[in-house]
Amino acid sequence: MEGARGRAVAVSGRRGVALISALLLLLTLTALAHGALLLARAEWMGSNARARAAEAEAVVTVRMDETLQQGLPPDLSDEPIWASRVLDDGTGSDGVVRIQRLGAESWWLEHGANGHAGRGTGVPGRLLWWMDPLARIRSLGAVLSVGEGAAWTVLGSVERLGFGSVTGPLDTAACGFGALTVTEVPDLVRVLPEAEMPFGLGLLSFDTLLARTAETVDGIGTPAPREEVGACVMDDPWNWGDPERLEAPCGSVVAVRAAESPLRVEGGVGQAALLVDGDVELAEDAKLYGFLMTSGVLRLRDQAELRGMGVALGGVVVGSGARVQGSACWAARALYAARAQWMPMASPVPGVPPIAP
Amino acid sequence: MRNRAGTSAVEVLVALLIGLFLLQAAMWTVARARTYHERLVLRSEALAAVRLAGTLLRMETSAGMEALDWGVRDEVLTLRAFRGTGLVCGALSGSDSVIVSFNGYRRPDPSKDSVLLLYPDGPRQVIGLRDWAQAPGASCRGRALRSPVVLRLAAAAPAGSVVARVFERGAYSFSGRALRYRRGTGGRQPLTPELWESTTGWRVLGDRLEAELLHRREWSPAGERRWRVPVAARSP
Repeated sequence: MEGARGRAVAVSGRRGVALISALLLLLTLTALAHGALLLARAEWMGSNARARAAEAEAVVTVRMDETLQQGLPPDLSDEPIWASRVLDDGTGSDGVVRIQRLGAESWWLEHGANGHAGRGTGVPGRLLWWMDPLARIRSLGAVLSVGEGAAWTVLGSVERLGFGSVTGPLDTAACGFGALTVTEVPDLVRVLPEAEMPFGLGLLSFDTLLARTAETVDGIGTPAPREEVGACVMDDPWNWGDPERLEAPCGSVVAVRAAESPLRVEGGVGQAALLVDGDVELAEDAKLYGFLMTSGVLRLRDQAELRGMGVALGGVVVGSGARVQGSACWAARALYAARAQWMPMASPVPGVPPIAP
Repeated sequence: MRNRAGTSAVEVLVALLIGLFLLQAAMWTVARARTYHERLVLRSEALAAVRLAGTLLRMETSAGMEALDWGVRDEVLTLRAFRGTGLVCGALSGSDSVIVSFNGYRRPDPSKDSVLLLYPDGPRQVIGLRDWAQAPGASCRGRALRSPVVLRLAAAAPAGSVVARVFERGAYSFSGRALRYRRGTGGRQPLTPELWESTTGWRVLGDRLEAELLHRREWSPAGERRWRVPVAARSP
């Protein structure tokens, strides 16, 4: 009995050593395996975090692009400077898209995160430019503007009296004057400085303006309001509205027209934003209310009249008997109508990337 | 004699051999596991360096425009490192101060920062930063400003700016086997371990800028060593 007990004790002791050794080995290997697992997990989390950040950045970029593509509210241009408005409240999404007016033509589009989503994406804002008629009128600063080196001859009259006032039959709303008006007294004729080249309106080049104008005219024509059965006929390129009878069917129509070759307007009346790539001539008793821009020479002959503003890269000739009456109201009315075609919404300023932070 | 355990010499030898074999196997296993573990650590650091280089360089270059704000010359990416943005409330004509609603990675620092002023239709102007101050309670056209700050410039700024971007001059390079950042004319601070081969550098392609990264062999003994990280899109 004693011998058997002694053998059992000895065997038990040997088994214990082996077991402890095996356990230690197992523990060492397990620790190493866990270390590797932790490293792999840290690597995975690092990669995942970068992927999530890239995804969030893409989402924010796309959401701001989508907001711009959907168009801005029509009454946004009435916002006073420094006011902001939420364009997309992010319901069910990852944040709000907000626009803030920084200046007459400058806007700041930004993405604000809701909760954790979208945070730290690095793409919170974009500087936008949106043509503002009143800002363009102020920027031009003259009843007539000509290109550098171009000549101007005035035998008739160029007037600026009452340039910023609203005169009948228009009212403030018809001019597009909201909270802002034009109070500055402009020059009669001003030479466009070299710094304002290339020729155009702000960031919109003349070629862009031409390309974005849907309706064209050419040659010689006489604008006149055209009505049928009490409605204004809109598909006539020479129907430039009825500025002298605003209550008439064509009274609210402001034409936006482009001519890709020299144009002669013989008599007639209309309210328009008119672009001409070449010389343009208003003759006989033609009356144009609005805004005229040409890459050539602007000539007014006979008893022709331009009421609003004109820009002529090649120079201006106002013949005896002809008249240019400066009017911010008529120019703004035409430019507001044209903006719907030329620049229906704000767009990022070229050369300025998305700005972070 | 019958009561003694273990007993024969053969049994002892067999037990010894098996024990030694097991010990050798265990040591070999532990050694291999340790080697793989070290490789994994190196690999992890190498991959983290690739991620860091890609993320950082993309973030820095995407904040600016090539030629205007950044460019690669003599194997060095020099740039304006933008650190904050202020929406300009107002700047009087000829004034050297602008009030802004400021948001930034850090506070402005006159010892190293300049200000890039953006105007509505594209022009830009760079003026040194002389000083700055918080302007608690400041409002703009009757509306409270978020994080209002007054930036005092080294020279008068033309009126009409809408955005003021605070930046420092910086340069990134792959020198001394690490990605390094140099602020102004200061020293080059390593941002990664010294794990790149000397051939690591920039690739200026027609439509993009890439960083071609090549790990030293000891940092990636078994895995992929060469990485092409897109840094920025270029205008064709």
